[in-house]
Amino acid sequence: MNIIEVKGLSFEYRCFDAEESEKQEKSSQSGQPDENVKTVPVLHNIDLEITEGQFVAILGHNGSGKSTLAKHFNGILTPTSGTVTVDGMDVSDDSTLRRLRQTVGMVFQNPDNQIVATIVEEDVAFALENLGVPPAEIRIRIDAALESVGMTKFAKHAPHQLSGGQKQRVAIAGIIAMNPKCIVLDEPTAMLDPKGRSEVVKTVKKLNAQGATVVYITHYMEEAALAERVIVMDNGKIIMDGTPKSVFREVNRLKEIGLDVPQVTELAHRLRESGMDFPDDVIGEEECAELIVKLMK
Amino acid sequence: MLKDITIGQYFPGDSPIHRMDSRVKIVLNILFVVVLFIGRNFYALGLCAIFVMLVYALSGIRYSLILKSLRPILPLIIFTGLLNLFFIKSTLEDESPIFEWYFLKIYPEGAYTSVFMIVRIVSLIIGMSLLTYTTSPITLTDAIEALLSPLKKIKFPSHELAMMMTIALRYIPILIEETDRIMSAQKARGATLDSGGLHKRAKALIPIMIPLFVSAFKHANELAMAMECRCYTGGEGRTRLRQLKTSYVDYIAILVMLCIVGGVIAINVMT
Repeated sequence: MNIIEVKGLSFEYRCFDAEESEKQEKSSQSGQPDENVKTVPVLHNIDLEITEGQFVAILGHNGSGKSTLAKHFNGILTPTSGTVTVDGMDVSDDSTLRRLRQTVGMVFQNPDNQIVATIVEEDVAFALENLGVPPAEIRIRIDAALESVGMTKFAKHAPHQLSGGQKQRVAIAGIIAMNPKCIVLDEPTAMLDPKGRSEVVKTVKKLNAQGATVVYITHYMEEAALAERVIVMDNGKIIMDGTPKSVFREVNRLKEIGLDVPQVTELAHRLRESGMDFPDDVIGEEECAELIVKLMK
Repeated sequence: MLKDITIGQYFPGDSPIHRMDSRVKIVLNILFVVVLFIGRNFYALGLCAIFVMLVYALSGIRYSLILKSLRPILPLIIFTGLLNLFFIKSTLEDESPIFEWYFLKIYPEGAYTSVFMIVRIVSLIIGMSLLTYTTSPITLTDAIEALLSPLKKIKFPSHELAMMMTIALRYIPILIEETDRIMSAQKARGATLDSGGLHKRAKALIPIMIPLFVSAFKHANELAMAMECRCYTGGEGRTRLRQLKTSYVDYIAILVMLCIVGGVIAINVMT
């Protein structure tokens, strides 16, 4: 079953052009207000379906529209044209917004800007408090959420005493306490050190294994390689969509749009280019090592 | 160095004072301040001073912290003391000053009022700091929200106020860290922050304040979005994880406080 369905989605930012409006004001007093608003197209006619339980990675360089797309999944942004349907709810429909936000949890890049309360467990409770869950049940659910991100030990700590990876896990706990069907993570590891990154990635994989649909936006190729499906975006369009192996196989095309491939894929690619008999869909380090050993024999 | 600042000066503990309901603590604190100002003579004031010291002992907070909490307002204490000492004239016409040096004259009444005011201010500060020493900022915020909630009827935004306080508390360490970083960055570009006159130093702060403001707005923007993602729609229909509860400690505290109030009024009437 599809949990997220995107049909013909286009989106443009509207920004007010101050210079233009000043000029207009000077020349004529009765200008239409709309004329001063510039529109910047970000997404062009996107079609996408995400199946329940899938682990989807979205790749793309800065400004490719990947974050903008993700923000449509829980109604932070609404389509300029086209539709986004999540679990049967239209994201433009205000009456189901609360249920939508409960269905799709969103984790952002900077953990500091997602933690509201001054104590870890209080922050995890924040969403449940907003939803009016009775205190006794909040207790049970936050304990479970902290347990599943491995932060039970830090329940009484202040967020600023934690490392980046730990803070991001708290932010994830705050989302999964709502029991969302789908978790959207917008570059959750971009501000973390390697240790924090692996903590977060492990947590996300675990949540996916427990049945949550995961949409994982990143520009780390190694992380995208862990997903079951990779979507590559460029200039507001989806240009590739498939398994990590089938996407990373097209090394040259990825490089054209300014993306790298995982290091092992790059290695395999160069080996092939230099005339060696090497498969073109290597993405795992161990897989690659084994193949090299075989080649050496 | 900036990281050492502790906000709210909370000292965790498990004394009866710590265990009191923070709402009751705030109300009793206000009552204590009122009583301090009702007390007209040394007997009444003495009762209050002894009471506050006993409570202090009960809370298990180190006595040296009293001095620490008094240090910021030391100038005020000295100023008040001196003003009262020199400027209060005797009500009796023929009484001579006990000390005279050029235009400075000290009358017994001046000395009396001076000491009286100092004891009053010191007791006030000790009482107030006891509240922040024994109550965590977060429960304090909860209590303020709870106490102000009747004002919701006249559209006073008590929940919003409490939420703002919580977020402010949350962001103090983050913004301090950021200030540190911006200062280092500006120093690395040759900014001199700690030399020159007052005017020059104030000017040197501009390149620190502006980036700090910009980033504070960015933080606010992202935080607002994250809060919306977690279904925040304001105070209505919200439940709380932490429930404020009154217990027998609070009833005893209320009883003791009422005795003090009664005592002070009785002393006022009798003398």
